[in-house]
Amino acid sequence: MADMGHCGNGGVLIYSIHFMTNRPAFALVLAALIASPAASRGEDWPQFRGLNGSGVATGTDPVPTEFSFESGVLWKAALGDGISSPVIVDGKVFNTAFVGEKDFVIYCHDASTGKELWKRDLPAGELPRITPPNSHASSTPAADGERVYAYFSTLGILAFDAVTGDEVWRHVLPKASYLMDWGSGASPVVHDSRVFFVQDDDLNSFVICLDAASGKQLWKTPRPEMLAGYSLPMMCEAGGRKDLVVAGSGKLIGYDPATGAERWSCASLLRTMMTSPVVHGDLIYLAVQSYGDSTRTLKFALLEWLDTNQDGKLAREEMPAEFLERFDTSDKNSDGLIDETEIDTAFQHENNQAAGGNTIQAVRGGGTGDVTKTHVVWNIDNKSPSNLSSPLVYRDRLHVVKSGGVSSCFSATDGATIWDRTRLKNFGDYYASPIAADGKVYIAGRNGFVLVLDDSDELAILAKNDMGEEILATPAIAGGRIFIRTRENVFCISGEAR
Amino acid sequence: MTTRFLIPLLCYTVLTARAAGPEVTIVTTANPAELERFAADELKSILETLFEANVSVTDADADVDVDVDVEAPHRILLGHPDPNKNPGFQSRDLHYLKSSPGGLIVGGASPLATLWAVYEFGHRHGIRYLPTADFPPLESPEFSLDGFDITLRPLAERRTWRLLGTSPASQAAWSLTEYEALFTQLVKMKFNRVELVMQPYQVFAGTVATDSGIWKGDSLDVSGDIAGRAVFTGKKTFDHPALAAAASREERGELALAFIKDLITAAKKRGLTVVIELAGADEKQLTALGDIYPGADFVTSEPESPILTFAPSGGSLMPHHAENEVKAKESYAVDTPLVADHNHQLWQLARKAFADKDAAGDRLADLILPICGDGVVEPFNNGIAALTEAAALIAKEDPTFGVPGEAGFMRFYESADPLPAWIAKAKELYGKAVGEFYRANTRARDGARPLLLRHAKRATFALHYVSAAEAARHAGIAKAAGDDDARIEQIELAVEAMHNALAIYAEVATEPGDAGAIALMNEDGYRPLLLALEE
Repeated sequence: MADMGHCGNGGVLIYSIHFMTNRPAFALVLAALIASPAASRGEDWPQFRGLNGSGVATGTDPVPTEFSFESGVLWKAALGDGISSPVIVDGKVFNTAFVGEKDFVIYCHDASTGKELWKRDLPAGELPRITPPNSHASSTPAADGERVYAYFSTLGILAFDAVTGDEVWRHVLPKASYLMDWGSGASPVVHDSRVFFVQDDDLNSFVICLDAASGKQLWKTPRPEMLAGYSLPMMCEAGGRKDLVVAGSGKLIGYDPATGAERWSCASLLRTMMTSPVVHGDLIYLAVQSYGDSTRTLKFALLEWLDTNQDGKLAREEMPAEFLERFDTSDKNSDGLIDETEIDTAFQHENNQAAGGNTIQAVRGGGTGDVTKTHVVWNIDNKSPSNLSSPLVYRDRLHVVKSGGVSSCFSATDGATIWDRTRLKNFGDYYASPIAADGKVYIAGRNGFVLVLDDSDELAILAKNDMGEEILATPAIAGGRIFIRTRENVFCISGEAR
Repeated sequence: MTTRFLIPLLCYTVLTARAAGPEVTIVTTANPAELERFAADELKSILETLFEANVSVTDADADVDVDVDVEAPHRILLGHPDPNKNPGFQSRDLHYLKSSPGGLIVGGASPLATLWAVYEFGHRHGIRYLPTADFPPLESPEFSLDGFDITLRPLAERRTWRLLGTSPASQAAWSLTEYEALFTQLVKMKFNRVELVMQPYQVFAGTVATDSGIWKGDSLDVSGDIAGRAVFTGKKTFDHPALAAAASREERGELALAFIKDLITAAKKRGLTVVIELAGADEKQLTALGDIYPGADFVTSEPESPILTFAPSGGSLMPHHAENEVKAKESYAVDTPLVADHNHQLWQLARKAFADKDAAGDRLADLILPICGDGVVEPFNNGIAALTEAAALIAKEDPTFGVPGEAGFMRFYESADPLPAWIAKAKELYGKAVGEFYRANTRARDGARPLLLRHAKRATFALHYVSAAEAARHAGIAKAAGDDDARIEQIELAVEAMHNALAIYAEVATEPGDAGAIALMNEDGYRPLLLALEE
């Protein structure tokens, strides 16, 4: 049940929480954690949204409710531009940044003091186009205690010694191409001494597995049906085995983590998948809003962005050169135009022509083959999900937040509405995903305010905390400390602060 | 061409690291003026950037003559001949590019005009000099110093840029560093004067002052929950950077005065004539002003030249474009609170200020094509046309739309009258502009994307702002009808739209006046809407 090989001895118990499915079991583990000395400041948050991307901290230390950029700050460090999240392993905080318009940087700070332990500057080379507010430091690293693994768009995946910062290996990847210039944003994860990374772009999507010690490729599985997306790969233990679960265009797919072979797929998703699922027990929860609706898919966006002469058709000469091959595939009658009859499914794979819309759903893991009709446990079609901010499942409640500061909460068991599209009175965009700890849900708005909700059946805002700067990165929580990466800095918020 | 240039024995030689391009020698006149040395450096930089040239710069020595009729390829003769020996130079602003067997002559009737000739060389090779930045051509031009026969004479003798302002949403918010960068760009665009426009109430104007800042009024509170806060980089107040450290009102006044003096020094350093204008000042006041600022060339009580205003009338912060403002008059003084909104128009104006027999090329296509590539001109022009129509509509129907202050945003909430139909039309036009500018931006892919994104996001700002006004009015109607649920719902929509408006503006805020505009609109719209939500 537990992922015994994942972390240090503190992490063994902690990780098991995520595969418990009922409250008594949770309570038992919680009790064990309380008794365990490793469960306090030694708690890790080793990748984007912590253990298995859950967004849930597992320590028992109280986590601050009220704080700001001026109060409750244990330490603060200037990093440079970035929207990647901090990760914390063995008392070290790892962050990335893009500095001076030319260098990627990876930092290691002491989690207790903020002392910079090491820093590595990496010349970025010729950078791809990206669309603001994306950053060239958008990918969150992953760490396992021995090494930290970071992805940068022009370099590929790099591993650094967690203690010294020495570069251990570098695995070059094909550069990603985005039809609408969104830019990279996917993050690696590390599991059982393997590094997994999904590069879903608009040309050559794939999932790859590297040996964590050497960087050598263990397997690589093409994902030809996928378009650009940023979903984090998840481990799901169900049916007596472990699957690497990846959400993408139209489909949730379970892979054998040892070989990369596809075990099952569930064609219940939408066209564009920028959010990440969360795994709770043997259920995989997804929430996403995808551009367009069930009939119009990407037509509007494609014409809006690419139809230069506004004739309602996409001409071959209106395409960026790297997409001409896909253009030709979409141009079914080969007349050099993607017209009214072709545009709704343009650039999509013929076997995967999912539409846009909204969905929140729970899919049971552990299937075989096409599980679309057998494993979708529940599915809600309303307008509560975000296209960017991932869902949070915490103590049997599923939380989503979307642009405008609109919060919704559902029963994780059956999808029943607890509250729906209620304003948090903190307006603006929400790029960061909600996280939870200490009986509270933390939601960071792009406007720099971090809202703290009580974990209850009624929406109760405990605090609205001003961090003073734009926040796009999902914060991290470890050992009772909150690590908040603003656009330029990282703050460590703690009750230890004087 | 009979002008003779003097070549040095070896006064100084600057050699660059070997590059792949041609070997080029720049020969300046003997004892070049500081501006001419700078012109040589600028020309060297252009040659290196465009052609990867290996460039050496030598200045002349009186002992050796160079005959321009003696063949010497890849040589550039840079300088201003003695005007006493060249009576044909009717204007010190005249400059030229002429190919000769002895090299390309890059010259002007004065050191400053010589520098302009250098920038004309850059322009003719695709570089576009705008007030906010230089944009190189997408594709490197072919290297050749042959075939030039261009003489540029000014149509407008006084090409003036008016500095300062009275609003934080203007150049009144600019720091010395930002002004220094502007002066560099103004020279590239062949402006020859700057005019510091002062008001009697300003502490640095030498009269009875009532204000202690650069702009009219105090610093602005930007703490807490405000929209577009990214532009304030964590600061709690928005103040002029030169005054932010002042501990007292008196110290603010002293720092403001010092700031103006530094501005004058910076402008003079770039060869610009400095004029101080104090509206309505008498002789005595002007004399006193001249004593305070001995670095200024002139003081005056009224504008020296007709003012060309690049802004909506009345201080509206909506994006703006007015086609007929770019006609170069005999002399002009440019007044533009938000410079980046009018980059393209100011470029056109600068090109229209001079003419040669081949015409200078001042259409928007001449600006956009070299730096953005194919397929951009049409959507850009369409976007500009939509903005122009929207600006004209607002000017006709309600010039106070988008003006923070007394007739500010909350009037939309405080009335239950139906919104006039023109609001929907303005929204439609802004929506059209958004689509066109984004299409242009997507098509451009590289190069001058920041230029296009500025317009795309400013138009998006306007679109959201109109949506906020619509929702606020619906809230006002609901309030009058006693329907509090509907009022709250509409106020929430208004807050969200205003937030989005200012957040997207913040994404393309490139000058302090943008931050000032965002601060003002928070005071005028966003914060009052939040208060209305709590009613």
